[in-house]
Amino acid sequence: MAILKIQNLTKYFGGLCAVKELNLCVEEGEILGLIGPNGAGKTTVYNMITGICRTTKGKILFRGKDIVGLKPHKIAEKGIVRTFQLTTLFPNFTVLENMLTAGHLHSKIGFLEAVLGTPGCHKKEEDLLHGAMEILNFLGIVPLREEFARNLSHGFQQLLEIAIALSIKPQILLLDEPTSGMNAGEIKNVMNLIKEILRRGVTIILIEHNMRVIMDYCDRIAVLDYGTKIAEGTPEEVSKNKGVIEAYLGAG
Amino acid sequence: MSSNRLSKSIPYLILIGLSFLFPFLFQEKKFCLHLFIIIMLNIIFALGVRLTLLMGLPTLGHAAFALIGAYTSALLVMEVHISFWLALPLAGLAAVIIGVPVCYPALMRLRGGYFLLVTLAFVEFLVLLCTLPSWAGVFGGFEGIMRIPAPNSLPGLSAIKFSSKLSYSYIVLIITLLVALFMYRIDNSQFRRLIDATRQSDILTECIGISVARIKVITFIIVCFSGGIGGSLFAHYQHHICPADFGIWPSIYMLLYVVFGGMGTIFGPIIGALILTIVPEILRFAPMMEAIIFGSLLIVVALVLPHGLLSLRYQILSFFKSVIK
Repeated sequence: MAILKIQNLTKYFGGLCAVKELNLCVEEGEILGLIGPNGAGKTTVYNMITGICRTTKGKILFRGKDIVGLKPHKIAEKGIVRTFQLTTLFPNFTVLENMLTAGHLHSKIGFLEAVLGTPGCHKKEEDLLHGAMEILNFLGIVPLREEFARNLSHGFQQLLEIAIALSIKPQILLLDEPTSGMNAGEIKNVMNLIKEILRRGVTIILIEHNMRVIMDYCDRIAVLDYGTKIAEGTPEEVSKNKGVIEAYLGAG
Repeated sequence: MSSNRLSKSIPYLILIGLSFLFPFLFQEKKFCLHLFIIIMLNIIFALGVRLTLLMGLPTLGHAAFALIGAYTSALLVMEVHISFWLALPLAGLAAVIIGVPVCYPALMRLRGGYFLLVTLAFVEFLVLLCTLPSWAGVFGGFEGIMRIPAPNSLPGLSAIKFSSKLSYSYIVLIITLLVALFMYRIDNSQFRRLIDATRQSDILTECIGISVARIKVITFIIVCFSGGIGGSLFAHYQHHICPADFGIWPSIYMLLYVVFGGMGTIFGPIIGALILTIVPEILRFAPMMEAIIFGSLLIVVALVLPHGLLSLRYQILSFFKSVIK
């Protein structure tokens, strides 16, 4: 069964149509590439899935339930987690503090017990720290835990973003250009991590401009252009699609 | 671990002990006791303002919550004849019930100077409401409410009369300490981290499954409640309140205490309230110079220590480090 099903999703910004009648199915456990020229509406789709911007029309079904209209934190609670194109972190927190904040949802620490400092809360805080360190270890950034997020290099910031996303125990992970501004070695490292995340049972949607990455790692690809889906299929099928070539290179 | 915590808390315990000794030592000097009480009240207000600032929201309307608390408490004690000890928490509650819904839209949508303008409008609105001639029967118009009684004696402790400045300063001290302790606990808890998180990026905070609205409302409830309690304590100390006690000017001062002292820890507002309450009193001998000296002091601190007076220790530390190198 499809874990995420998008039906007739439409978004108007005033008179501008950013996404039009989009239909998309994401199968559990796959990695789906979402590509398209700049301004095709990819990030807008993410914004609508995660509840950051309202939909004009259409349905987003997560495991058969419509999630349109839910607040972003409710959607994150369900296990739909995203990263941002413009790397978004808590810049004035250290790496570890970022992780401790991100892990709050599953730590189940209540306001009163936190302020009163009950023994139960100390136990939860220990678990929170333990979980945070485990994820940092998985991504290989434990040595950076005391650095301020704002002082990290761009590549490490993006790793931290993935680390934050993993703290919410995602079922679907929406990645928005996780390899932008990285060199070949760093890209390989990130993509291997993403493959490992996939192997652990997380479904992944990937927005990416690097065609090498898309072709090598994605199970399926959906191509957007001017807010509509112009192609969908395996990397091979899509790379031979005439409409896709036209959208990227212009009509010959 | 626990002995470490104990040794860390010794300076605080000494400070608390000294503040308990102060009213006792100066009980003959009425003016010192008066100043002590006013400083304590200002600390309560400054701590509330600091919590608002931690959310990234500058406020010029904190006196509004004090106004609600003061009028609620005075009216409840004088008209409904309930005990001061019940009216005190009810004053805080009233500030929450009025303050939170009214400020909610601004709290959710506005930031920075825009929030500041709304709080400014809020406090002015309340002041005008209380001065309305048609409601003078309830709020007393410009003259406000007079002959507000001192707190009644506690059952079983009827020997202690709270009409004296000495006993009242202990009420205020204990409540100030409770407020400060609560704020201190917040600072050392996961909740403080969440407040900081919403200030840095509310979108990311939402996307990691934390309700920004919930964090802000809980924080603002504490802000309103502490403000209301402070107002109630003010009313039953002065025995007379009028709308002018709670306008923009007191609100500006409450903000100044925090900016002056620094908002990193609870000690910034405490030091700020302490110094900025005492300095104008010292300057009374030179009425013409008062505003000039007070203003210069603020400007110098703002220029030299933009993060508040308490950031001085970091500057001293880094100075010594550079000397050693």
